[in-house]
Amino acid sequence: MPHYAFYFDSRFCSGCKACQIACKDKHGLEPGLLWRRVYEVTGGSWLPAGNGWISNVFAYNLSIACNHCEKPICVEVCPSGAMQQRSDGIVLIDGEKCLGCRYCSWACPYGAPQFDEKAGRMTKCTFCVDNLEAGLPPACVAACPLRVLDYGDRQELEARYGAPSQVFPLPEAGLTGPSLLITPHPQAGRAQNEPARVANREEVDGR
Amino acid sequence: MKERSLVVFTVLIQAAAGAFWVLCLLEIWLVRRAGFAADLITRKIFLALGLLIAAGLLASLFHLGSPRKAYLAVANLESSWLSREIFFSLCFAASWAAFTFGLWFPAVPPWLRILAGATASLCSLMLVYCMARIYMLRTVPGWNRPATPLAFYSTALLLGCATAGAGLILFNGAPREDPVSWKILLQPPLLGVAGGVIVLFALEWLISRLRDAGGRGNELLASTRAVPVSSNILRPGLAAAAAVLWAAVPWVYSGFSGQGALMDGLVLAALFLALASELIGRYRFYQRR
Repeated sequence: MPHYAFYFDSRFCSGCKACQIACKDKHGLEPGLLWRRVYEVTGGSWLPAGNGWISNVFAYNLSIACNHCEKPICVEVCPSGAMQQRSDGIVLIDGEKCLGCRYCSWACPYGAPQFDEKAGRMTKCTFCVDNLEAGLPPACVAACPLRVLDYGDRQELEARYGAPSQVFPLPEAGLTGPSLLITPHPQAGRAQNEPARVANREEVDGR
Repeated sequence: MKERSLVVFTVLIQAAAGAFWVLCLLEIWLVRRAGFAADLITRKIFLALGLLIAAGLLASLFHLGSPRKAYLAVANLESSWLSREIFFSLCFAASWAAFTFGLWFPAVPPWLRILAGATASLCSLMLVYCMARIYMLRTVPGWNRPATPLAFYSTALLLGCATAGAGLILFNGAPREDPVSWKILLQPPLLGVAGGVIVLFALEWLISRLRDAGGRGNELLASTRAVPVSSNILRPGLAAAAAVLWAAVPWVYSGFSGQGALMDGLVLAALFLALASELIGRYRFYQRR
């Protein structure tokens, strides 16, 4: 039985958000719901150099959906048992049981569960389980024009791409054990040591 | 703010829990001095707590996207502190009802009334603990601090003292046939309540220092919203005004000469100032996520 995970190559992500749009299109998401979010991280500045200036700016993108964590805190805290994890690691919401209390959205450090005002309950990335059952990739993976997204069994992904990295501004992996492997952008190390910020906060902030 | 209803729910339920503890202590103190009259003094206040409990539980429903499924909220007692909170809320409400029924109907055996009171006290203690644990998520550094349970218990005690004190005056304060004896009986509890309110306001200021110290937040989900500056000034101002009014309550009561409206107005104003201060503090707590 595979334990599904996502892989993301931050070196080549252009921030086009095709993954984000493909997800919204496939699932018919209401405005304001972003099951996959592309964060634009930036830092640095312009430095004086003689009579001119040189750019010391860095920027990279992170495409994050639900990480279907190994220790999903959303499942722990859900009062009705609507949040459930399958044996293959995929975390799904049982809409019939969900109260819409939003507790999972408080607990999740990745902003994955999002409240659907129209339905009165929580929703989130489903890893496109219907596609998986048909032998197809998740919509976001299929849509990426630069092929920076991949999916599969976690151990196979680690063998192919290497061990997961901690990248700013993602929370410490030890908190929930995200099933997410990232090849960091070459400049990502600067974000750990210099001031950096998410530049498109208003776009991705669903709270 | 989406959590508006939760601000009301948590503050009102904590006020009810704290008032229950204070009133139980008061009942024990009064029984030794006034015998059977203790029930006559406290039963109306205990009954009034039902309004707080009902209002708080009703407010919690407004937070749900599907209130009709609220009954499912106790389905995950195994791991969810929210399920446990709702469970103890319901147990507190039921045991409060049983205890208050016993106060109003003397046919209920004393041992049964004591059992109901002890159960309600224990359930309300657990209820406040579960409320605090809901917010102590390992993934939310702003909430996962010792200051969270300290703040919740201090809110319960502070509003509990204020509610109990207001109830003493509103339901019993006007001097009747024997005003001197009445004042002798109620003055010490009023002093205790006033002292409790003042000490707890000071404690809350200390807790706020703990809460504001250190801790790196979640950089991924950091909110674009800033805490309104007005709440930095308003809350301490309201707390100070409430503390001053409560300090005046025993002093005014000692010189009280039958002007019920003045005394009632004083304690109600003091109670509402304390409540407003706590509501603002709770609102700011939710902003720290």
